Amino acid sequence: MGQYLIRRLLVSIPTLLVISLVVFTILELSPADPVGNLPLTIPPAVREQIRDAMGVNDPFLVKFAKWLRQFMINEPLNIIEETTGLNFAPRLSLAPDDLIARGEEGFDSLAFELVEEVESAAHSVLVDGQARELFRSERQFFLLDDNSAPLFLNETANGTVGRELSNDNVDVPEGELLPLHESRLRYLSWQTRSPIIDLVIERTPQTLWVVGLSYLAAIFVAVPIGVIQAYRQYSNFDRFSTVFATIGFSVPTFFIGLLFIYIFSVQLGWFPSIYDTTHVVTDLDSFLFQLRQSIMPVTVLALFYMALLSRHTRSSMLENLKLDYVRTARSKGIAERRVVGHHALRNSLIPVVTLIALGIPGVFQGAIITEQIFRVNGLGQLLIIAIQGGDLPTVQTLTFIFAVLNVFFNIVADVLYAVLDPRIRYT
Amino acid sequence: MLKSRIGVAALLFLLLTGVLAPVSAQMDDELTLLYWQSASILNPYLSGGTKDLHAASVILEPLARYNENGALVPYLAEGIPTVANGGISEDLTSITWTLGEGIVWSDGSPLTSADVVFTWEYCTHPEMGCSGLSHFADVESVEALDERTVTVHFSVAKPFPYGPFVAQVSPIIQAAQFADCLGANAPICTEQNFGPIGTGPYVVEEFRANDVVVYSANPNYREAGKPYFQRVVLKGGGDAESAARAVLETGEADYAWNLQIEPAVQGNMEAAGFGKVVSAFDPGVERLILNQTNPDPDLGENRSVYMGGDNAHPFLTHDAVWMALSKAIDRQLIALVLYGSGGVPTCNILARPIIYASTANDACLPQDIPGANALLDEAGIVDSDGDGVRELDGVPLRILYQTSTNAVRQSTQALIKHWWSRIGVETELRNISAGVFFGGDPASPDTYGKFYADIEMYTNGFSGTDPESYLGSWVCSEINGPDNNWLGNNVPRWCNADYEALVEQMAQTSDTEERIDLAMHMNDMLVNSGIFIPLVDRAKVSAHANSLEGFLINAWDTELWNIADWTRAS
Repeated sequence: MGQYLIRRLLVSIPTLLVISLVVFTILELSPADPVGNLPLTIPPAVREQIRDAMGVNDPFLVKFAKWLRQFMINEPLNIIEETTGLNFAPRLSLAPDDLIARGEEGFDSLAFELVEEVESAAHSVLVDGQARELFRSERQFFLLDDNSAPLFLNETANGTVGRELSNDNVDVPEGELLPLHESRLRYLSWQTRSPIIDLVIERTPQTLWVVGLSYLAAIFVAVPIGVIQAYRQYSNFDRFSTVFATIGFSVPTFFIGLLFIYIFSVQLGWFPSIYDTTHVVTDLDSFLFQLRQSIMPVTVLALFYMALLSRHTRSSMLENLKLDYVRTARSKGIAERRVVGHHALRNSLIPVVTLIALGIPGVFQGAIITEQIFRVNGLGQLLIIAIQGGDLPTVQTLTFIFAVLNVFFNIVADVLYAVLDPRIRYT
Repeated sequence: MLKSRIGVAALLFLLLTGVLAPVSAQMDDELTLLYWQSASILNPYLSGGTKDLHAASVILEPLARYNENGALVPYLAEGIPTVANGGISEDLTSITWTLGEGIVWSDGSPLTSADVVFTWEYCTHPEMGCSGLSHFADVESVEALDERTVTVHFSVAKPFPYGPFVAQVSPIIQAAQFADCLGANAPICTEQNFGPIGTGPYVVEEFRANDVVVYSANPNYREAGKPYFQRVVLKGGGDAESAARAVLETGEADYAWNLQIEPAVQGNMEAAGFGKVVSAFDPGVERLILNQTNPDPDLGENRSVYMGGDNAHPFLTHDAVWMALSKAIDRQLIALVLYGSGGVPTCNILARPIIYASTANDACLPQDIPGANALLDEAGIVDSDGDGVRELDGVPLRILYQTSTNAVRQSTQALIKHWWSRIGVETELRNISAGVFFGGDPASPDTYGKFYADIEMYTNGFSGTDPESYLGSWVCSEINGPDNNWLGNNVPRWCNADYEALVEQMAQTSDTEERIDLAMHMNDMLVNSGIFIPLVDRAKVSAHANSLEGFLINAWDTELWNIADWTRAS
């Protein structure tokens, strides 16, 4: 089993690389233009400059290499560093000639000229012939003088040292000064010009809350319904639930969503139709508000998942109830409750559990339409806006994350299958 | 067992009553704005999208803005410089602004002319890709004379020098904050781009890109006692219709931007009594553009390429043809049924500001299908082979008519196709996703600039109130073609020496009356040359709550231009 797992995980690496290349190629071929949605009052020549600055016009391989480096290497390193406090980046080093000391009287009156991004070998900076190590705190660079008083330079965001040094307003920073490292370029969205990973992290909570909650609700309701339906096949309950499931599955979520808004927001005024993503739960009242604003999107989505899951539970249960081991159990005089709930249900759930596991990546992908209707603005909405706006880096990143989740939960489903069904053994 | 059931039931009941309590009434000093396109970034120089300009406009301010009537009003400046008050030099090559006294940034530091100079340096940096660059056209230098005085020098005489630092497209940013964000560093300054320090009535409290902006009142705002609303939430996402519903039918929001609501639905929504729909006309005119070159696919690389007088369109350049096409259209019906309060029929390419609107072409308004047929018959353009389509010199009048994907545009296409079929013109309709159609990918055959079709339709206009640069679009050097990657402004590919002379003349005319006459003349020339068929003069449509007071819709600047004066009726 362990070996099997390792093999699966290793195979998934080339799979993901191929997926990312395929997605990237498809996106590259798409004619969507990130400046296509700007007002026509912006002249075409200016648009071309914007595209150049974004890197839209870079050759395909350059763009792909940028993505591999910035997303696959830089971003994970950033996350690791942020969580562990370690720093793997090479120490930023400046060639002594890059700094021009304009002041005369030692460190008190030093000024530094702008220097280019440098990657030379020196670990410290020569100032007036003396080697000084660079330190950083937040967004400032420091050189410490002999009395450990800081001299500061401004940091520009990509690791070059800025030009300003005014000696009269040097603030001594509080806290620890860290040795200076090169900062890594992050993978930026073309629309927001901000790191995509930050956008994803910002949006995951509301997607997980709304979509995840509806998925959970669906599981807890659908499984019992499916069991009862199978146990009392062709009863009124079975018929009613079948009709209900068919409706839930075939009526599109945008229709049910609008219907809900019309009934519960416009007519009854019970629930808000706009989801407040900045709402923070602090006490009972704010929790109730959170429930109230989630009820409509959660219900709409839960209806859909419920329909799917209850049908699967029902058919799987039907199959099992007819089998010999159930009859044997009954003939042994085991209580009906135990026969159904213990023997039949457990076996019937094997395919259902697999199905649930395979559906989890879908939870992270969010629900594009439902999120739009209720303005939940989670990952699904982020993806659709990026597609509409021709924001290639964001679409690429999101599809890749979804691909990773899909591959991962496929493995989880396979493993779960083996755990639940002792007849299956992976070697 | 029973006890626990009662307990559960009681808990459920409590939860339900809590959950079902009516949606609480709006807080008095909180303002909710709905933008169905959400703000992506709060730095207007890195976006240019209207939604982003609006979202930034409550933080960052220009020297002057246009008010609801299109007149310039000073914001950060003390007054509007003119030739009369000496603010504009006699030779029209420089304009001197004086900053208002005692204006401070929201962080408390003073606003100085260095910030104005920096803003120019920031946007014109060659590696920047600044979306507001065109507003700094012909600016040679920006010079700080003293702490509060700044002069913009132009390389040519500028009869209308209010391009730089005026309106939502060109606000002042703080030099101290953006000092390290010049050029290629501009996009990586996420912290600055998401939370610019401004002089406006609000500061950013929280920004979630493509979702929501939460603002709080700027404690250092220059006008005492303003703004009235202490907290503003600008929520994005969803669609235009649900945004209208939230203002008009449920009262959940105070304002909704850029609505395109069907006229029939609008009345029903307003009847709920929470708010009303308001509109204001800006220079945007929905028009048909007639390709002056031949878009025949058989031409290969020369398709839709202007080659002097050669390669002309086989029939659209014939006067009788474009006149008949124009006559056959019922603009009034299109405006009434498809645009409602969002548009009125027009025969002009330059329809706003209203002082510039020519009345010479109003004859186009009533539809005249018999007249159109007669015109074609007289010109000898008849259906000679009996297939229901007229021919000109053996070329059947078959038109490929393209536009962006949008419900109103597709309805317009369908109506026009029907009317043209009644004058013996066959139309093939095509719609292309807006992101592709308005994009500039030189490899894509589907962009509006490449124009691989006979006729296309979209709205164009200009920002601000001066039409000079807009009218200057249709000069020969701006013709779209392979040499400029199809990135020109002259999409119809029209080259006319007389018009060119008028553009030159406009650049040297400073008298307002003369400029108006000239602009009208140019407009008449454009619409009588068969390169445009104007359809609808479009308006900005928004909705606001009845309880919101002080809202003045503004077509010339951001609609949030006077947000500091908004209050709530008690």
